[in-house]
Amino acid sequence: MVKGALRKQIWHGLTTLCCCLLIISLGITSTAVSLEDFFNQFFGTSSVKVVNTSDSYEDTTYFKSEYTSAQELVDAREDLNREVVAEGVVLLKNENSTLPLGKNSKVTAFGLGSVSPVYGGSAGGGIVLNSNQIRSLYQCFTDEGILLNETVRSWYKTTGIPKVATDIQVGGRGVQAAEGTPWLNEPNELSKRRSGVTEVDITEAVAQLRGSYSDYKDAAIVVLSRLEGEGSDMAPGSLTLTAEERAIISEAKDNFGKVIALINTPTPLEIQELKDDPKVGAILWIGYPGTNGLVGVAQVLTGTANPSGHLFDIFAADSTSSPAYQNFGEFAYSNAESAGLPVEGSYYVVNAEGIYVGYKYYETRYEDCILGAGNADSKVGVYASKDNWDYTKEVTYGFGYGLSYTDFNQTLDRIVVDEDQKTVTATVTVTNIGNAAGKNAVEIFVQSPYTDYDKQNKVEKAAVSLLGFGKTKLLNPGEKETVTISMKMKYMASYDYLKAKTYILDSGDYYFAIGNGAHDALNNILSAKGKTIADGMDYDGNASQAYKWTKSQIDTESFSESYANATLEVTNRFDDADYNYFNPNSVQYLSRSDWSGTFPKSYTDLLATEEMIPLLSTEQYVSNASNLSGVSFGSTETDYSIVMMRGLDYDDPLWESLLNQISLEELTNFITQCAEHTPAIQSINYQGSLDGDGPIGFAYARFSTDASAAYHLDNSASDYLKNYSFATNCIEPVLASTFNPQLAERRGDMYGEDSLWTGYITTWSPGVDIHRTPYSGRNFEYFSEDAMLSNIMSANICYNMQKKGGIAGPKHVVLNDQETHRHGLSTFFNEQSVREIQLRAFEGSFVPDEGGSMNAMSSFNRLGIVVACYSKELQEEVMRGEWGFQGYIITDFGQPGYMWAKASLVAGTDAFLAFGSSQPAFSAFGNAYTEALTPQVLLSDSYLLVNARRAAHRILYAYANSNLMNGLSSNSKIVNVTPSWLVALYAINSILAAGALASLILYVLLFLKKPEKQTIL
Amino acid sequence: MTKINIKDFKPGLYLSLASVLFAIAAMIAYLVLSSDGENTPGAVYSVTLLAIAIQLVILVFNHGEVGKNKYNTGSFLAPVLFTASLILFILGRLDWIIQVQAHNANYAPMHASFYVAIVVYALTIAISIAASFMSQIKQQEI
Repeated sequence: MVKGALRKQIWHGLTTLCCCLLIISLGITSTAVSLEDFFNQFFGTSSVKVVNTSDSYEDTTYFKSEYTSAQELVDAREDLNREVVAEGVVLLKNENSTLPLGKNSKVTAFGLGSVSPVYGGSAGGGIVLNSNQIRSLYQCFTDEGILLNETVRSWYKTTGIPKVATDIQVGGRGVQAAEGTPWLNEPNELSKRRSGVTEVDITEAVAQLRGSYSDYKDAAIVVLSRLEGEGSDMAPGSLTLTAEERAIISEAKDNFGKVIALINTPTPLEIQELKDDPKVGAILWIGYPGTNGLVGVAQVLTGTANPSGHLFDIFAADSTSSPAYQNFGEFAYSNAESAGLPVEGSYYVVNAEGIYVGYKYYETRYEDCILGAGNADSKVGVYASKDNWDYTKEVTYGFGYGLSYTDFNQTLDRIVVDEDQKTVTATVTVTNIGNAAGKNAVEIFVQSPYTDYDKQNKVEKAAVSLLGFGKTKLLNPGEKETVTISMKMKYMASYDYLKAKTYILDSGDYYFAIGNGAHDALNNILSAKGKTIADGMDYDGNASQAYKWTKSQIDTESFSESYANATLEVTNRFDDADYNYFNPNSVQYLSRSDWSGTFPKSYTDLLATEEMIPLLSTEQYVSNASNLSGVSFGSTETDYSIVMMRGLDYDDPLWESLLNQISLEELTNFITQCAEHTPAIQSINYQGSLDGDGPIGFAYARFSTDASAAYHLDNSASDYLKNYSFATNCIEPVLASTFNPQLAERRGDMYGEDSLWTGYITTWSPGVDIHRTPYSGRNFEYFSEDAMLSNIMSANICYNMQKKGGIAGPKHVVLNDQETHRHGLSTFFNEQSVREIQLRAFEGSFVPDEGGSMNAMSSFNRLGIVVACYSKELQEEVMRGEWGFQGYIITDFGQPGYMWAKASLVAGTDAFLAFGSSQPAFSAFGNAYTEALTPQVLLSDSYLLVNARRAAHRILYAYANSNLMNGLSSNSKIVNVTPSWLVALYAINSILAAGALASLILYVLLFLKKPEKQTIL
Repeated sequence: MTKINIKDFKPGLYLSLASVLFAIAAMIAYLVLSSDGENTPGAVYSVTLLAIAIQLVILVFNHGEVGKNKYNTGSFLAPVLFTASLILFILGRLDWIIQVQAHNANYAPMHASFYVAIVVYALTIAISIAASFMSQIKQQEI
């Protein structure tokens, strides 16, 4: 080897190495700069700093926490979750005093879920597991005095779970794992993950396990679980008990006197066979309890807590029997390919069930069977009935149904209908007539008359609809409480989309009723109408628990005006969301006037018409010259800060001056880069915000470690607190099942506290879409199939979160009721159904004197063929115009292929949930919104410019009145700082560049050097 | 061109050849990945092919008298271009990665070809960097 040649090779290699590393480093730097906020979150740094230019003291903690330490907050929020779970689990069956078990019971638990239950849903708004925070079923049960069979438990851990488990992130955004053991099936195919193949075959192992039963004989607990998550719907058939599950139930029945089934699902499971089986003594629905909620379950099992939950959805005997299910899943336009439709414009679904979603279908059809109306008892739509349609066969457990360890007597004292105030007030006295202390839910249902007017004008009426609810305190045996529930009449109005084209209250007899769920209330109404078992009722109701109110004349005026803007008519806005608009007489909606004739067929072959094709394929943006007087950018005439806008009206003239200070580049960046944050705007001393999912708490948040923040962890905090995850609560169906509005208030309050202590401001929560069928993959993120249960729970969360300065962002507005082809799914409906079901669920969240939420997230799907984010009818006319929504609207995760930026901006979208940087110098990539809405494009189009400015105004208005302003005064300035990780990256780049240059120089020098006498090595 | 005996081949030459083979394998893995319909920039192929071409040209060049005496290592440009390919690949997929992370419980949808392509590209880069350190043809001793 020649020495000089060796040296040359080394420098050559080093030059190559340094250059390659430099390219990698530059790539990382570029990406990091584009995702600066994410890296800041990860490292706990910031790119801006607030400096106070004055020494004078001001109390700038505008929103204050009730807690003096992080640990106090953690204790409170975990106590709350346990309480919610204890109140939200639903006792469906309890025979032969199976429950409660009592303390020190020795039980044998079967099922994968007995060792590794599902704590929360996956993805998006799913649970963020921190293994330190998980309280396993074993731990929770043991602490509450339920001793578990170790032999069976050990078998599941060492043999059962490994048979079916495959690897999944533990500690990441997943749904397991008791004792660190994950379980999931076929993770490489999302749909199969939801397939319900969830149980291991125990038959081969029972011989070895049976020897252990005698020591743990008090009861057998069988845990039946289903995993649900964003991105895919539950697979067909996955809500039926599997052979493996039946095997463990059999094993339990054969060997134990008491068998208890725990339903660990976010959605109804087909459990008629458990209900009918006399050897299954108790059934308890537990939902997804969150990381520590199983304590609440254990408390219910032992009797420490008395179950008081009521079902959030109806449990049908056959989960595919609903009319909605007939049009759920994948339906492609028959000419999608030939018409060249993009994939986000090729699929549709028809909500042919109309208003008959969930229990409204089953209960209304039941009433019509009793009344002998509408061919209700025909064979059409029969799934579980033997012959003709039979409610008692089709339904296992009704909406709002739930049992207790004690008995309660409810007396409907009074219903006051105030037509001037447009309110209904119910007074109900609840007496505990049993032997155990407990809480009792009071559910108020309403029936509107189904009149000739309705039949002629196709206004459908559900036989019974939840209008309001409340809950008693803990009542001791013999104790009573009078519960008063105020409700708004607007929520009992029907929507007449054909004749009056607004909300109406028919003339005729209305019934208000109480009961243990919708079916019980309906039976009370039927009894009040004089009906009995002889007429086909499954049991006689109690007429005294129903109240009749008669309205003499139809009212088409009272709810025909917006309460936010009296000059704005409330009228049809979604005529073109009905497929019949494009292709008349193609779709028939379900009507109680003829159940058999109108029971939905599956619309599998709809055509995208000539009129529809361009609307599905290309952006329909039309500019409109706008007045720019008084508008400027980068103005230095004023030097206002965002904190000065706190408390000012939206229309205060100071806002215009503030907005004029913002440069065009800042404005563009601000509205197009809103993924998980809002960007800083230095010209107005706006430091930017951190935002995030989701319905069970802030997904990525950790306690703030910023010493300048009013609430933060100090350096001596434990690792547990430093790593504490906030997205750990039980799912919304569990909260809904409490039927306790105060618990929703407290959860909202807790989200507000979370906001104060983490520095995260907006959470896209609550999830308020409707459980249209049990199969939607995101049912775990939404409350219920019922609009008012969702409405009231959500409104309470929003209102209370925002009292602490957080911003609630209910999602997804609207109709995100399935995951299959959710991107751009054409969702066809009639206006009555969307008004009374899906929109009604959201309404309370946004009306200023109800929930008053300051943010909303729009949905991926279309209303008809108009994507939610560019539906002016939805965003501007309904949400802002009719409801008075005052916040800002953000898209769901940027899908610029069809969520067109310009059309969205002018239709009321204010922020685009997208990543990327518009800074040209280091931008590795922008995003399509940034490219569509560049400063140059905005400048060239006054319509876009005006709307972009309006969008920024709305966003800033929301944040100016949030706890983001904590710590800011009029003397505060925002200065840029280079975060430490970026400094490190720049340093690395410099070193590598220097290394590459030095190596190259040395190599070239050697290369050019004349060969000399070489030394042989 | 000087007549070269195969006995004159040094490990650096084999490494250069290996980098070419791995680069081809990386492109195949990338092609398989692209079947998922997500963003897979075509520039990755172009840059990789360019790198392969340069590596082979240098390999042939090193067989000549000038190359053998003056250069005689793997290409400098080839690993740089392989690295650029990998960066382009990942940047092109960054949106997808972020969406998967934001919306899914785990990285299960990121099917094996994604990981394989990255690993093979990384190996290609490492091998070609190693080749740039090492001589390819045994030089005459003076």
